[in-house]
Parts: sequence; structure tokens; C-alpha cells
Amino acid sequence: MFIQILNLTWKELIQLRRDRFLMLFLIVAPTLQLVLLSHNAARGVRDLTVAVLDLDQSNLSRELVAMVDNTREMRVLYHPRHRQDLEQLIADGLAQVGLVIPPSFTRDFYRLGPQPAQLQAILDGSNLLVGSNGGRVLEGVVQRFIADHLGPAAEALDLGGVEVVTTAAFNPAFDYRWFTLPSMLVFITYQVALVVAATGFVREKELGTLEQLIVTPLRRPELIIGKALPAVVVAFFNFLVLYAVIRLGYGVPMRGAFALLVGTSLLFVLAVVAQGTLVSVLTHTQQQAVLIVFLMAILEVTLSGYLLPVENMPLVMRGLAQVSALQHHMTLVRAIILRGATLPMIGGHVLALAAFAVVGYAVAWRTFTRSL
Amino acid sequence: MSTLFCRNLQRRFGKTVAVAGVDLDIAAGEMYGLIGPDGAGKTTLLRMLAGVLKPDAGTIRMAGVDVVRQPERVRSLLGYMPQRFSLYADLGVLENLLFYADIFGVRGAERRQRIERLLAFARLEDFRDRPAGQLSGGMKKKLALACALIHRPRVLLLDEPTNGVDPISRREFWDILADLHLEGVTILVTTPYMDEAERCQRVGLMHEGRILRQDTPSALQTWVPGRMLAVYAGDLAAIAAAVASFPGHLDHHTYGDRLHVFVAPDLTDPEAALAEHLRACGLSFRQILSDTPRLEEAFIHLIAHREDESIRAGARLPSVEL
Ligand SMILES: Nc1ncnc2c1ncn2[C@@H]1O[C@H](COP(=O)(O)OP(=O)(O)O)[C@@H](O)[C@H]1O
Ligand SMILES: [Mg+2]
Repeated sequence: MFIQILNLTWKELIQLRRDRFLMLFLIVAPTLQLVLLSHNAARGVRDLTVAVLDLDQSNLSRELVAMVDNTREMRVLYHPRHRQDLEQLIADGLAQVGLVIPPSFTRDFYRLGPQPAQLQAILDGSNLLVGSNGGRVLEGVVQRFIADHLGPAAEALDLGGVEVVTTAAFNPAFDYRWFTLPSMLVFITYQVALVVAATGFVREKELGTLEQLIVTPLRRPELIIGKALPAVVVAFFNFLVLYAVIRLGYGVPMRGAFALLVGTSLLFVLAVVAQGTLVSVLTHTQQQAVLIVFLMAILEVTLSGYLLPVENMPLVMRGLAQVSALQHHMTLVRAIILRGATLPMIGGHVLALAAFAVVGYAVAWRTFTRSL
Repeated sequence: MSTLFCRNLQRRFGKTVAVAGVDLDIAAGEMYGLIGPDGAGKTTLLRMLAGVLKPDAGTIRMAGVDVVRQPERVRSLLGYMPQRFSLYADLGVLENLLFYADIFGVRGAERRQRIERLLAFARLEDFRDRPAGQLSGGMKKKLALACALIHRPRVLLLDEPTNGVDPISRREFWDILADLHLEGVTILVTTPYMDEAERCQRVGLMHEGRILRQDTPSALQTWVPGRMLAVYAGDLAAIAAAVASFPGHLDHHTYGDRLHVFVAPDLTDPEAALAEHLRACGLSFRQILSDTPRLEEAFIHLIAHREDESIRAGARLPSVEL
């Protein structure tokens, strides 16, 4: 009895060893995931981009800005002159944190006015990392600033000082779901498109039906399009349903144009289906195709900016993220839904998606033509 | 000019040479049977002829069209039935036929008529809605043939169309092929069954990627050197042991209640000589008759003979595939 079980186990292990794709999945994928995730985790919050509107223009305010810039977590990149410019930088996604230093900063700091100096921090509320960490980082800076300039005595007497008033742009109530749901919308659409497309061709191969399809008058591009279209339809329908759920069920706002969201999502689905088709053309069994899809999903989620914004990633990962369709689409969907972005603001991401779609189908077509 | 023509067709998979230079000339309306053991390269050859697989070398012409360069141009005149069942198992009989009719652009009244005819032809009228995956082996093969015929191809390539089918369905299937042959369709069919090959006008023997011989079935039988004697007896094992020492003995096989013995052609009155030999060994038998060898024996002889030759030429024996 026990020996028979061992015999079966041994046979399974032999088969596993023969399947190169499976080995890749079982060893390489988890290792990669671990490495990438630990990389992210170890880095913590880093290099949040900051725009400062300094209305005080004093030595003291400049010292505060320098102190913010000197933290590991923040980099002061912009010095807008007007409040509208600051808000625009945040709306465009260029600055993740906006800091407004009021004209009365020096006076209030030394307790010459009626209350402590009020620093206004505007956080990009469309970004999970910034929304949850920006305020904390600034609080830390301010504590050290007070300790440096007023000394422990002043602090104990609660004389003067600074307080940080934080507002989250685009997400005033800091509703956690506003960050996560638009990203989930994109991710689930991605998975459906990828899985359906990746199993399309290879199922026909596995069942032997491709052999019969090839001798019909359908040409190679027609075969590819015919197999890709159902995946596009299914994934896009999925997207529409999920969108209705997050809008109506969870009250996530829609600040941009619906048509823009639909158009870019269609482009995204086309690009992902192209990748899935390529997987399908390259593999021999549905099992291989599904496992490769898992591998791709793991990598793309790590690179997507969902866990860590692309701007705050290490350089290598930032480069890799540029070739992730999921990353581009998540970024632009959050921008459209929460920040009300328009086409010119997200043009780069749209072009990237279009390029992935075109290249994906071209490669799938070449590979398919050669594989026979 | 022949309808199906190929020259020096070759294809290898890694180190395996599946097809090692095949020439074929199949005339319009001819029924050509390809026989050969498993792994001879029959399927690979048919896949190349159908334009499904690119050859490493060689040319193929079907009705004057270069199949290697322009496989799309022969789609409408070619019907191909792969060795593996390759229809949609989850679609019904009728749905499969409708699907292929649509893809081949057969529409409207024409589509309905042809499908009805094919359903009748394949005796599948009563199974229209049954999922193809739930049909019996023979019905699956007939459905596959019906789908391959939906666009009225002029050339049919059939890869072991009756493999795994019961004898009655096999007979039915071949009656259908005979009808197609009478309609003038050019047919190339591979089969492991010798009785089926005997129903073809011409037969090619394929072995290790080459066509060793091709001729009419009756001519192939005459290629076996020597004469064949059938010994009818009760104890065939004892007879088999004894004939091996008969002078002029070439080979022997048991066949049910008789033993086929191949003897050298130059013996005078071999029946009497063999009878004498067996009696001398103290064995009894019912009778000895002269007979013509069956195609199967011709085939086994040709392959065995070829392997002897390659051993003599110093070539290695083909390795046994497990
Ligand atoms: N797709 C393939 N990949 C690798 N080897 C193959 C493939 N198809 C056939 N072969 C090999 O080519 C040889 C001929 O096979 P095949 O054409 O199927 O022969 P047959 O149909 O006469 O049984 C065999 O050794 C087989 O293993
Ligand atoms: Mg075969």
C-alpha cells in the first residue's frame, strides 16, 4: 500500500522534472517574487517627490525645506510660486506631496502670534503609499525641527512650534478602498484577459483541433484574431461589470471622462490579450500556459506600482516597470478615476499600451507562422 | 500531370529522421494506400502534403500548386483527416458540420443540402445533437470524414482513418471511400490493415522514412521470392520445428489452423518434397497446398530483407523505440 503510494509519487516527480515550464514555475517564480518583494519591503518609503510653496521666504523656512529634502523619504523637486501651480503639480502626478509654508511661519514659530505655525501638507490621495506615509514623515521632520530650534525647554513648556495640517487631495476622507479598488479593477481585468487568451490556442493544440483548423481557408492572422477576440470580449465585459460594482457598490468617485477610461481599458485588454496569445502560441499544454500566466502575474503585480509607486522603486525595477502593461494601466486608471486626468496627462502610458499591443500581435503572428 | 506530386520530401525532428526523401506521383482519381509500421513516417508525410508541416527539403505540388510555398491555395481542394480525432468534442455532430461549412464558405440552401447528404452518407442522421466526444470510435471517424468532405475536396488525405474501429464500421467506411473514388476524388490513405491496402489501386510500403516499393497490390505480392506453401495440420508447433530443417526453407509463419512456409523458387514439386520431409520426421498433416502470399507477408518480407541488407552494409540496426 505504502510502496504503491511511493511509486506514484516517484512517477509524478519524473514527470515534473521533464516539464521544463513547470520547473520554471515551481522554482524560479517563487524565488523571483521573494527577491522583488523583499527589495521593496527593505526599502520602505523613499524619495517621495515634494513641491514646496514657501510664502514666508525666511531663513527659518528655508532651513525647514532643507531638512525635509535631507530625509531619506522625501526629495524637494519643485518650488512653485502660486498655490494653483502646486495643485497642478499634484494633479499631474509630478509631486506626491505639496507643502505650503504660510507667510506668518517665522513669527508663529517663535510664539509671537496667537497659535503655532501651521504647515499645510497636501498628499496625493490617489497613491496608497503617499497617503498612508506622507503625513507621518512630515511629523517626524517637524519634531526634529522644533527640537533643533527651540530646545527641550521650549518644547516642554509647549511654547511656539509647528503643526502639520494634512489633507489628502482626491481622497479627502482617506478611504482606503479608493486606493485599492481602481487597482483591483485593473488587476482582475488583466488576469481574465491573460488567462482566456493564453489558453485559447493551446487548448486547440492539446485537443488536436488546431491540425484541422489549419487546413481550412482561415489564414494565420485570421486564426489569431479569431482566437483573440473572445478573450477581448470576455475581459472587457468583466471590466464593465467590475467598474459598475466599484462605482455603485463602493462609491468610488469618477473624476475623469468615462470615455477615456473605456478607451484606454480597451487598449489595455488588447495589449494583454496579445501577451496571452503569445503564451498560447509558445506552449504545448494548457497547464503550461496557466502556470506561465501565474508567473507573469506575480512579476507584473510587483512592478505594477500597486504595492510601491513606480517613482519610489529602485532604478532597475523602475526600468522593468516601463515594460509592464499592468503598471501603465494601473497608473493611468488611478489618474483618470481619482485625479480626473485627461488624455494629454496620460499620453505616455497610452502610447506604451498601444506599442505593447502592436508588438505583441506581431510577435505572436511570427511565432505562430514559424511553429508549423 | 499527376494531381499529387512530391520529390525528395524530407523532414526531421531533432535527431529523428521522420521522412527521408519521398517521391510520389498520384494520378487524378487514383486511390493510393500507404502502409508501414508505426514510426515509418506516414503521418509526417501526410502532414507535409496537407501543408500543415513545413518540410526541411523537397517540393510538393497539388493540382499544380506549390504546397510548401502557398499552402493557402490548396485549402479549397484539399480534405485532410488527421490521425488524431480533431473535431470539437463538446460540440454536437451537426454543430461541428455547421462550423466547418461556415469556415469553408458553404452557405444557405447549399449548406443544408450538403450536410443532410453527408449525415446520410455517414449514417449519422440519428445522432445530430450528440456531442462529438460521446460518439463511438467508428462514428467519430465517419464524422471526421464528413467534416473533411464538407467543401467537396478533389483530393483527400486520410491518416489511419479506420484505426481503432470495429470491422463492420471499417467495412462501411471503406464503402464510403469506394463511392468517393468512383466520383473521381483522388485519395491518399494510410492504414495499418493489409486488407484495406488491398482495396487501393496502388500501394506504397513505407519504412524508416522511405517508400521502399510501390505497385498494385497484386504485383507487390509477387515480390516475395520463392513460393508459399500452406500446411494444414493439428500440431503446428511440431510442424514449424520440422520445416526449419527442410532444404530450401526460407521462412514460415503460423496462420490460424495452418502454417505458411516460404521455400526456394528453384525446387521442383516443392509440395511433394515438403510432404516427404514431414513424413520422414514422423509428423502427420492434413494437406499441403500451394498458395499466393498475402500482402502482409510481402510487406514483412520486404522489411526484414531490407534490415538484412543494412546489416550487411555495416549499418547499425534501427534502435527499438520503447
Ligand atoms: N512532432 C514530432 N516531434 C518529434 N518527433 C516526431 C514528431 N512527429 C513524428 N515524430 C517522429 O517521427 C517518426 C515518424 O513518426 P510518424 O510520422 O508519426 O510515423 P507513422 O505515422 O508512420 O507512425 C517517429 O519516430 C516519431 O517519433
Ligand atoms: Mg501515424
